[in-house]
Amino acid sequence: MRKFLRDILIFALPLAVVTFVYEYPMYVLGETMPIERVLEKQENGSLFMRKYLGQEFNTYKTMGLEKTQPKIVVVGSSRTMQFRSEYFKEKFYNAVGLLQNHQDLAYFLNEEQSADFFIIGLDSWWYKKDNVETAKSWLGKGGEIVKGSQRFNALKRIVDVFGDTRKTRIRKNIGANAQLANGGFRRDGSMKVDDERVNLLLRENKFIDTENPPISKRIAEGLTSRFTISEIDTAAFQATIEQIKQFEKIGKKVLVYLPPFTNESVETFAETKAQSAFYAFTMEYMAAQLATNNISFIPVEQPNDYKVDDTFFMDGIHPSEVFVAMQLKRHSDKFSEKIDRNILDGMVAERFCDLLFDQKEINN
Amino acid sequence: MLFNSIDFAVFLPIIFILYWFVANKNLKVQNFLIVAASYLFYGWWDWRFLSLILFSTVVDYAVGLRLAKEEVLSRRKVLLAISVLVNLGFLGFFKYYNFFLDNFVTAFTFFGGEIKANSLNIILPVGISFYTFQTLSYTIDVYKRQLEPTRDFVAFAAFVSFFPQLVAGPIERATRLLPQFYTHRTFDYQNAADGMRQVLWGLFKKVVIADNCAEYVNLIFNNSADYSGSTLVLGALFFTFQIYCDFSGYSDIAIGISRLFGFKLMKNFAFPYFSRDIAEFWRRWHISLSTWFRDYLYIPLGGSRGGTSMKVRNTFIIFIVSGFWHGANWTFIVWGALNAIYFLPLLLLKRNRKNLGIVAEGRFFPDIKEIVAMGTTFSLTVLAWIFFRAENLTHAFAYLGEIFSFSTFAIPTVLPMKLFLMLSVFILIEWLGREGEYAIEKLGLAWRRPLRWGFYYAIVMAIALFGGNQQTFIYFQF
Repeated sequence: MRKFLRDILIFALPLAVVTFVYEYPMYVLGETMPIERVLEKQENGSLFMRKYLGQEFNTYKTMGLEKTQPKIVVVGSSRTMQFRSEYFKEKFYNAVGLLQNHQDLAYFLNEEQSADFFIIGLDSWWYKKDNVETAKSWLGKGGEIVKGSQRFNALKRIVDVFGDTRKTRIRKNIGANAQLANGGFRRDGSMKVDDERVNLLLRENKFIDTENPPISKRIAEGLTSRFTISEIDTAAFQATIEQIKQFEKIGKKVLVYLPPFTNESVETFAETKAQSAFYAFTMEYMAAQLATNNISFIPVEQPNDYKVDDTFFMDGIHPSEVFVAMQLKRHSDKFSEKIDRNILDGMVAERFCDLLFDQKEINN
Repeated sequence: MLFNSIDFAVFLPIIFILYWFVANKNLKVQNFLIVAASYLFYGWWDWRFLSLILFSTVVDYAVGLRLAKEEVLSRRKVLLAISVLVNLGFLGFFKYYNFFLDNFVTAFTFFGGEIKANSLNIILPVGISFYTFQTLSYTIDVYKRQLEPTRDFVAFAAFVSFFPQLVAGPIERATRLLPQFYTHRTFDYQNAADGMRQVLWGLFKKVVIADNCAEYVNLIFNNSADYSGSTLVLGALFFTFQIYCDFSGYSDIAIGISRLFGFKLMKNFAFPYFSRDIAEFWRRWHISLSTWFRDYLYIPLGGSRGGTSMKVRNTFIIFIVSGFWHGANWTFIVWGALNAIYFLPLLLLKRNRKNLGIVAEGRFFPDIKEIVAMGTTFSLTVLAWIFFRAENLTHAFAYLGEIFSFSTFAIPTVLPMKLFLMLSVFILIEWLGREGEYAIEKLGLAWRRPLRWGFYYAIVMAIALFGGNQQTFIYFQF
């Protein structure tokens, strides 16, 4: 027996050392924390955003949705991630990230949903004929947390976090990005913008698109799949309309949100003939079809519509939580029972900056 | 608790230390520890269903004792019926209630009737099919006077709930496992080291092969309408390896862990994909279930005695029941029937016991005849697995339809080269080790320790670095 235990210990010792060196840094950063634990820990207000391993979006948002049991749900792409529970009178959850294309949306609308009010963000590029995303094609992604090879790659990159003493980690947050940049998902599923992005705005006091390449360049040159020139799949959009109508027939209320662009992006659209047609699709065709079918919607807007500049955007396509609040306030007649205009008024008026409401959320 | 989880990695050493260092002086204490550990192991999943195991244990223990005293045949039959009804009653309710209800409603509607019935939201207790059959074997053997009933309740409870094989087998016979709880167990270094090797190989099969195959199997089967026949062939092939590595991996881990505690469980898989005909395949696949059905169903029905019609009837019964045992879905029934169709010609031509030995024994290369025989058997098996994996019969036939179309000649759109490489290495190791109890039983034993341990470290690293997303064991659902 003793010989057996001794041999086991000798065999396991190198493995234990490797495992310790391998796992400890990621554990400390929260990169490997199981989603159940993440949700529990977020009860105290901590943010969640990993940097080296996948976010497990699907698991995180699905479990968050189940745990919250909201009355109001927002779904869509990352452009709707700034919707916050503070805007609404009833229990809310931002399930953005669950859907990545119109096929996913069809699947979602077919499933049994417990909430009764849904804000659905529709991106125009979902309806491009060359859109490569198909239903649940993204589901296979995100298994990094359990894959040794991914962890090994993460370990190689993680060394810089501990090697860089200039950065202070916010230890209560979960995940390297949340700890280092103080950005990530809040308990309600909404996304808090990184401190770095907020500080850049405060310092420069002007809009700077930190995306690489900037969105306006992508639009002008047709870069990345979203902005390549392509035909529009109107049949797919008609199918979405039909699915929404069916969904409303079972007693659910829907508000379609067509996400806004910066003034700069809109100007760039106008400069290119083909892109102009694409933008027109979003602006005119989608809106017209929604109106014809009596589906409530917030049209594509831009800061100029509110007589403000692009500082209310994080980049060319992602509005800030403040801009979203301004939009909801303007269109509140479509869902007045769900929000309190006065609260939204107060929030916008007393905002910390154009990107963020609360100064306490910034790590100074 | 899953074998491939952190929880179990903490649980096992604690129980092992308590078992050999604290409880080793007293057999009863050791058995009690096994019962407590087993209930904890099972309750970790859902403690509410412990009551089912406990109830089955109490009923079968009491029935066994009464059977020992009872001489009147009619009363003995009643006692046996009680045990069968209780055990199969639980199984029937939890596993088959909704299936029968749905089919009854469908049949009623088909003939013009109108009926409304509400399906129940029933959670299937993990491993119920396994421990039910294990405990039934006890009552039947006592009834047939092939086994003396036990008077040691703790030993019997340990036999029913023995954690290494509680949720997915091997389904042990009382005649074989129960006596091991009566005898003093001594620690044997070689046996324990061998057990550890088997656990390691089982984990490799589960985590590296089965879990990686699972990702592609789910992708292809869940979106089968989007793929060409050639990709669907790959999907079926991956599932063939997934189900084997998942289930035989679990069995290896269960057998290996049992050896750490001084128990010997029966072999459950014997390299079935190297079989030369379907009869040989069924002697090598899920041996504990096949022999259970043989002994408690096929032989009582008359087995292969009697006329041709009797043989055909019995063969179909045993395969269809075996299919149905796997799940309440027509797909499993068709899978069973298909295997019966494969098996019948061999039985009727009396060629079902032709290949009793190990293929290419003592040689590295099989001959052409063996290669053709193995290839044919494997292909038939792959085809049958499509029914096993499909969501329903419509899905299975659509899947097969695409496979037997021209699109099977197209280049597959899913080509995971890393997985192909892993499968190649795996098949080679299995082939090299096919004469042992498990593939790496003898592989490297003659090597010097640094080299041998290097081989084991390589397997550990493969598990850590190339393991797929953690999946529950497929056979838990059965």
